Amino acid sequence: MLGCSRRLFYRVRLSPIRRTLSTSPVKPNPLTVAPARKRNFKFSYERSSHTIVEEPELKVPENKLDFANYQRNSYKLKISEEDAKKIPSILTLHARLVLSSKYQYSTLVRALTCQMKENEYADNKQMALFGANLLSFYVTENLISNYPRLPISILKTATDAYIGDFSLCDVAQNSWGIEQDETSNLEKYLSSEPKLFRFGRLRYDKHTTQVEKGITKFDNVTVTSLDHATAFADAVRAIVAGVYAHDGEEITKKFIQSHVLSRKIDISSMFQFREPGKLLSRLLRVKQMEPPTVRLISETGRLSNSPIFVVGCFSGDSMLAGGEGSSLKEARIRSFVNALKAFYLYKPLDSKMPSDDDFKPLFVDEGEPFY
Amino acid sequence: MAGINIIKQVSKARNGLGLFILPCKQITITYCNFGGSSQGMRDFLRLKLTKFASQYPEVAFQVLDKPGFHPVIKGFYSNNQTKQICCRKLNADMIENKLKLIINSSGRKLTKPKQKVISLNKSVRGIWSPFHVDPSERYKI
Amino acid sequence: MQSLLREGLKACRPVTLNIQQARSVVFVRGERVRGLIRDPEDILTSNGRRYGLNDANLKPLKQFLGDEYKLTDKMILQVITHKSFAHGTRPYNEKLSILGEELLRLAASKYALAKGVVNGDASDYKFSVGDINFDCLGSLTHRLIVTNRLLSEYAESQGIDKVFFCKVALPRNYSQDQAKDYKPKAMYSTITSSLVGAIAIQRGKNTAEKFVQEKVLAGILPAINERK
Repeated sequence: MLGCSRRLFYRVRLSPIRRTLSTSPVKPNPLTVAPARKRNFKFSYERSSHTIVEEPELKVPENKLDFANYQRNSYKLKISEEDAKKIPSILTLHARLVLSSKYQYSTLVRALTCQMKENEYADNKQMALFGANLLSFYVTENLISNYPRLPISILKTATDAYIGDFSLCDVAQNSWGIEQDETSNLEKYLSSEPKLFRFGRLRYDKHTTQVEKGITKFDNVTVTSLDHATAFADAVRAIVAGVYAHDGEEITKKFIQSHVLSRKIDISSMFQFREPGKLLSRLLRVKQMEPPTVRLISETGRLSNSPIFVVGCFSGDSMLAGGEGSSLKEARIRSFVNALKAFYLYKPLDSKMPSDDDFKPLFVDEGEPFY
Repeated sequence: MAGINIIKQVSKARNGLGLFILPCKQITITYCNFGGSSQGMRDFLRLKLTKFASQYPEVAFQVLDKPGFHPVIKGFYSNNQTKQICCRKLNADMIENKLKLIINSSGRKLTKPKQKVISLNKSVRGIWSPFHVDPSERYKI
Repeated sequence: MQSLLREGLKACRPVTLNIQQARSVVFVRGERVRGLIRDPEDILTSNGRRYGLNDANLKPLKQFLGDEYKLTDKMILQVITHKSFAHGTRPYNEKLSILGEELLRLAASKYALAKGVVNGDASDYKFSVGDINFDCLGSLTHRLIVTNRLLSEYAESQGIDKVFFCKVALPRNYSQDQAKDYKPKAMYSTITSSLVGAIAIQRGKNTAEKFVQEKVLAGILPAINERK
């Protein structure tokens, strides 16, 4: 997270310098391969489940529906299971994630290898795509059954908070302890580290390299280059896909629940209402309830410099929510916001998800009126 | 929806809620092959390390020969912090205890907590409000 | 602006405005007239069909689902209501279609992977992971399975888009007569996806996946094959 924001900061600060150096004899290499066309998604989790693998890197069989015989052209080498067992970080990662004995060590090696420019080893690109499918289904299902009335935008924001690039990067780095391969070949040689050990770290083409003071760096964006967070998140997605491949879907669901859905998000602080009073009165009109009225419940120090007012937001006789503030207006608006949140954050007791065995039909949301 | 802005978030880890993952991921042990201060460490490496390391499959143990220095054990944690303890003149049992100390640490820097309870969650009871108390029982000046 | 308004009024003139008066509020029916309030009845009609929980509206989808994937009437009505209809004041299918789309995408990927295990000799392929060959994912064929185009074509081929409550913004060169044939893909694809979502929400994931495998993919995959 921090690293990313710092990088952004650098890019902004260095842009004027770059312009002054436009006469530099060194010109950036033009992109040899045009990047595959991509849809612009607002959230990173949506982007990850729409990965594109195009024809030159993919060998498509005659019958396009013969999914078994698709092959990637770049794949030539593979780390064998025996070799993978010699890498300490792979062994410890396997133990740390409490993976089953069926889960192969070589799958973890593949999950830590992103698509790179001159890489002949099998990479995690398509595994990450399937992992993203699994993650986004189980997280969406969880949110829809637990918070059936969330507006669509908040639902997507909450899903992104669980399985967006930054969150999964945090899972990979700070919980699972995955490291990226940063040392140069020379440093590896000097520390007499076996060559195999680099497969135990996350390897990817970095989007930007460290910018040094006084050095202007041209963008090294290529087709395969990835952001720091995206690369780590893809590793997590690929590991999830690996759980599916070795242990089946039931275990994958448990894996997602224990590693991703157990994390904390605060949905109520994702809302920011522009005109809460207007929204509330429209909501009540659609639900055929009486329009909201705000009544003062108690107050203190009206004439002092620190007054406090407590108001309630009522629809007919029923109190929807209370609000307190240091002015009548503030208290009023707080009560509207609380009433709206009480509606949108409705949570059924003992809700079951569609993929559960003892499933019961869910509460179905009718959608938000938006006129 | 029109009228509702969104504020993006990143989920926070709650280690132990779904599954507990040991924060310590690697331990590096350095020793000297002839120094007197490394005698206990050499004993530990010869007699106890294999059994001890097999108890902790989630931690990678790395043993380095560093001639002419005191023996040091250094723990690497998943929050990018390290913790190191010098094991000069310690015997094998004491070293084992020091290793346990490193494994059981969270890796966070030692700080004095200001609150007695630190939590990501809001209080279940909510913040006490004088205005929701029955008027007959309110504190009067 | 003035001239535009005048032209608009001129265009309206040959159409006799059916203005009725009720409680001193004037409603207008038919084409839109600036400054006048629409008849609330008017917004509840789509393609000449009145919104409501009756057999005529639910029949196409009920027949399609049969007894195996039976849904409640209320749910069926929600599936065939787009959020553009009646300003979103009636229960609409957006959230169902989001869940349905996630499930469709998962089921499509699972189908592609399962095919590799059963028919092909994926276990011999060096780069398969636990007997699963991941190499087909992200290819054009795999991506095509869950697209607005094919989902809406599927709804059309099965005849489940006969009754669909929505409000379409017609492009400029379209006349009102062509409106019936104009079916935006992003809108009409929600029928299929929200149907999957509704089955998942009411009958569980296994039933919904069975529905996707037996009905949706069986309809969509031949269409992909014909395309190329």
